[in-house]
Amino acid sequence: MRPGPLRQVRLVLGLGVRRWLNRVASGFAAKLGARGAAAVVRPPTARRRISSGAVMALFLIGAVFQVGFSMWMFGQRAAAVDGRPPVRDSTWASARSTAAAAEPGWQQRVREQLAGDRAMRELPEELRDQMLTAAVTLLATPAVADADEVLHRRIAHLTAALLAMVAVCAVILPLGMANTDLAKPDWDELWLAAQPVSDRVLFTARLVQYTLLGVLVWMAVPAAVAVLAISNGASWQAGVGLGLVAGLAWAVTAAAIRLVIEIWLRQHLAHARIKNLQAGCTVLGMAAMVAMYGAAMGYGPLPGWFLDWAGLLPWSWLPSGWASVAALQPEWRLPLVVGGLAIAAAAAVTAVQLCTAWSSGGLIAHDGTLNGARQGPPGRWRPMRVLGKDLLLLRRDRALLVQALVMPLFMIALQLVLNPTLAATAVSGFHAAVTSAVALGGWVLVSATMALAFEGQALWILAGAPQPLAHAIRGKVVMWAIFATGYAVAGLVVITTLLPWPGATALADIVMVLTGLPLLAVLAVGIGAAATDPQSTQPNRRVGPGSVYLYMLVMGLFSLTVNRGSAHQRLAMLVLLAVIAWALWQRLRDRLAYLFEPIDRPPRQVDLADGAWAAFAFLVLQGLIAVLLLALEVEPATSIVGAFALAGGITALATLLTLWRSRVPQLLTAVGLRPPPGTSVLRTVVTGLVAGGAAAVFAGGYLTTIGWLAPRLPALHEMLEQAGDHPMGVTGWHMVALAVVLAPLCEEFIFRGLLFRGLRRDLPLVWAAAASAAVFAIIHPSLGVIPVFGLGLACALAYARTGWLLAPIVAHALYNGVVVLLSGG
Amino acid sequence: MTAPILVVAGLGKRYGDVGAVDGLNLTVEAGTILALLGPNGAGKTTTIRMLIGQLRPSAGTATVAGLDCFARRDAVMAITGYLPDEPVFHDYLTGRELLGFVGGLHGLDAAGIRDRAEPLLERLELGPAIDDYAVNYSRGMKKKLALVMALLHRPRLLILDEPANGLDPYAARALLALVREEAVSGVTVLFSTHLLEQAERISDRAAILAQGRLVAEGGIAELRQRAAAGGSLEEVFFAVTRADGTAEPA
Repeated sequence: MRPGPLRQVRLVLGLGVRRWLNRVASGFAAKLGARGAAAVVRPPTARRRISSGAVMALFLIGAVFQVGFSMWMFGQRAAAVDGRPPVRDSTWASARSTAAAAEPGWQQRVREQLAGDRAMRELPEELRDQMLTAAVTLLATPAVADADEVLHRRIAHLTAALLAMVAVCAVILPLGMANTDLAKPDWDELWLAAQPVSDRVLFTARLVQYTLLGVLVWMAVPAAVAVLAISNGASWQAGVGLGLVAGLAWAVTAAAIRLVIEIWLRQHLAHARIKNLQAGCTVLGMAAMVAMYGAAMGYGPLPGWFLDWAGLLPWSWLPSGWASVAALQPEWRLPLVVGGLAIAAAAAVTAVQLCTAWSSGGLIAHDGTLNGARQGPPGRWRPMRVLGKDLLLLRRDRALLVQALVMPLFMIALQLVLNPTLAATAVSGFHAAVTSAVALGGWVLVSATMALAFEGQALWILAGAPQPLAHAIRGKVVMWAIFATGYAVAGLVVITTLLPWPGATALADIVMVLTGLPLLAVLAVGIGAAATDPQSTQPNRRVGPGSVYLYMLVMGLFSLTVNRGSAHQRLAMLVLLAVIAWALWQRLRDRLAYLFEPIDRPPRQVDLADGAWAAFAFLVLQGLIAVLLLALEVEPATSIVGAFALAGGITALATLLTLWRSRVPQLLTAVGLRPPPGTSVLRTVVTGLVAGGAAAVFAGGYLTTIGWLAPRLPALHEMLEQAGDHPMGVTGWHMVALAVVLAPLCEEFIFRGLLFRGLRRDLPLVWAAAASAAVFAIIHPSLGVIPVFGLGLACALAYARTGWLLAPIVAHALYNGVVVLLSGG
Repeated sequence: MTAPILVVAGLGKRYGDVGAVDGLNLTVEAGTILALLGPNGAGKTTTIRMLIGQLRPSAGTATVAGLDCFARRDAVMAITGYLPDEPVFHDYLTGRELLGFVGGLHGLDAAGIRDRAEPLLERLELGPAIDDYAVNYSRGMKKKLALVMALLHRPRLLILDEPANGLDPYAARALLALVREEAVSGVTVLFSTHLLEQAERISDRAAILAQGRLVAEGGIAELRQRAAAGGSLEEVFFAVTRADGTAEPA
């Protein structure tokens, strides 16, 4: 027997809800880092379903609390429009009575009363002062006394304006690019339509599904309305009840509108058009969303643009605003609740009727939906590389275009519009403006993390090309580097026309932009490609979600250095970026050969990433341990030497352990700790002595030159003075232990055994030596950079010649010994 | 007669505990058409994916013209054309642009691509659709386009995964005739299929896989002889795959 219509709706609905839950659960699981052998997408296990359910529940509770708190603050802030500061009602009432008493000096007492409120204490001092002055002026006018009625009406109106923004988001965002089903040729609804159920059942089920899963509405509206009602005198039962009813009415209405729009689009537009429209919806929805956040979050008075928006329409008379009126004015509650529910019911019925009527001639009426609508221009034969193909795709796929090139502009513009302080800072001077240009370029590169994933299932074409995949991806790096640098340069051009040219220092800024952004492009594409899993059939799991955050972290560090760093720090940042980018590509190249391998991983070798990690860990550990030892009141010199030894030892052991566990073949020989067979100790030592002697002679010459130049060049003299101001306090035997024993042992292992070895995989000898020496030099104080570079070069060459770390250790010890002797111990 | 172009020695692939291919030995001489037969799950696609360097063998080696398929994937692909079972193309690229793209990756210039592609497109009756977006093609057209892409750089070895799978008789005939012609002009062809009649019609030799092992290999005539006088490849297929105690007859 065929099930009745209600049961049919339940069946279809159950399918949709289960599918949504599974998708969200797997999304959460991916975010939780539970990425297993991802070759096959498996349904979530019972355990994972429970854990991701718990995470979802926590997330929802957190969101509801967040919304509740923001709404409470919003109510306070809405009350402050006429100069009333955002204080609690009780505080305001007592301030009002103080003012009404009008005893001498009441102004000062009012200020104290108001300033004691928690909301005021959290404000910046300058703003608080302004508000207090405004409040005193306000309280001096007698009409304020009976403002409660007026006040409630104002809050209701402003809340209604805010809720109207939520309404826009709730309808538009689900139509945006995240809705991957809408523009798919094989639409889900088509398959369902082949089942023995009527259109009416399908649409009803879909409507209920949208109602239940309208997360945005359920998160925002009930909490907002409930808090508003309770904080203005309603009992909590009435408040929560009202919130839930409002949520239901809203969710149903938004679902009905969304359903009608979706079905109409599918009926009338080719899916390429729908995709373009979706791009527009995303932009609009994001704008509404950010505007909503901008209005609802924060302290202090409501922003001016929001008050303008609120003044645009009588929001509290529109259905979306009824909830706020009902929350604040009890006498309106019953009629508005009944009216709201009636409207929702009418919307639902109308939506199902309309959709059923539209699809009486089949679900797809538009004849061009499946075929012919997407036709390219008649073309000529033209060979294309990856760069050309990607540019072409970007030009045609508007969704991609919007996401990649419009969103960054939009994000920056919105930040500036919503945060006037930031806008003022960003154009306060050339240097600050350059930071904004870097941020703009950096934002563009967020999309670059998707570069490999853009290929989607057409990746087999690239994988079958007669080049390593890494070469193909290079084209993508070039494209994104051009975009990012282009945006930043355009920003710079605008800046230079608007702001006074600060002279030569600007050149350093420009160099940072022009070198840093291409490096960031390499990193962004590399990070994304390394996290891409072509085996995954689920789009939301094809790129590991951590990659975007990781990229943003690097980008943030870079922007910070551009903004705040000294010349030396900026140079160090560039070198660091270059090393990380290179290290990443080395790993990536190994991995890309195994991209389609579900089980095997590339065999491990010592690579640049090991060297970069070790150098980083060594520096950070040194600082941490030194601070710890000093805190334990160990003598400073001993602390420094001890920290160095401990950091070196821990780093070396941890690195060796990691490499051993990942089964690097012949590990000790690979990192230079064991000599290659047939190595003579004597020859190794002599090579080391020659290299160290040469470096020492070079350093001596350099120091003599500096000493001769210093009295003649005031700038240099100043630099030397500054350098001399920071003695490490390490002398005598401590110095000898540090310079002649510990430094050679630790640093040679890290910089020659790992870093140089990793660089040597890709570079000819001299270049690898120079690059490792550059990194080695850049972590030393600025005065020593040049002689230490010479030492690094000599050590790398000595190591390359002998294959045993003993040679560079001897060289380093000799060099440091000479330097310690010359500088007088 | 001629040197073997494809040499597979002791090739094996395990996915964790599951063995997909085990101890496969094959030698394919230049200019022959070899059919890789076997029931579903026999390891045909895994074998092919090792030959085009997408999977790393767990054991043994596979070489094309002396080049290791995995370690020298790029060099191997420069002389190999590959047709996947279900080719997927980029949204928003026309057939012509896709051919331009593949030609560009192979270092061909516009004239080189045109001279090679146009006759092939005409043969396969794909000409009128060449300026449509390839995502809109029917399944048969997609497969034809992918075949032209695979042949564009005049490969010495052609690897086809289920070439006629899901095609109508016209499309299948056009596609297979083209493959046959390529073989006559000296291209070596390896194709997987579960359509025995097709293998019998176009291939010179056949290798039958069952549960990841090679259970029979030889010239078509030779294999027929093995079943019984005047037997068909089908009989051999059922005999060897069932004798192995593994697969149900399809």
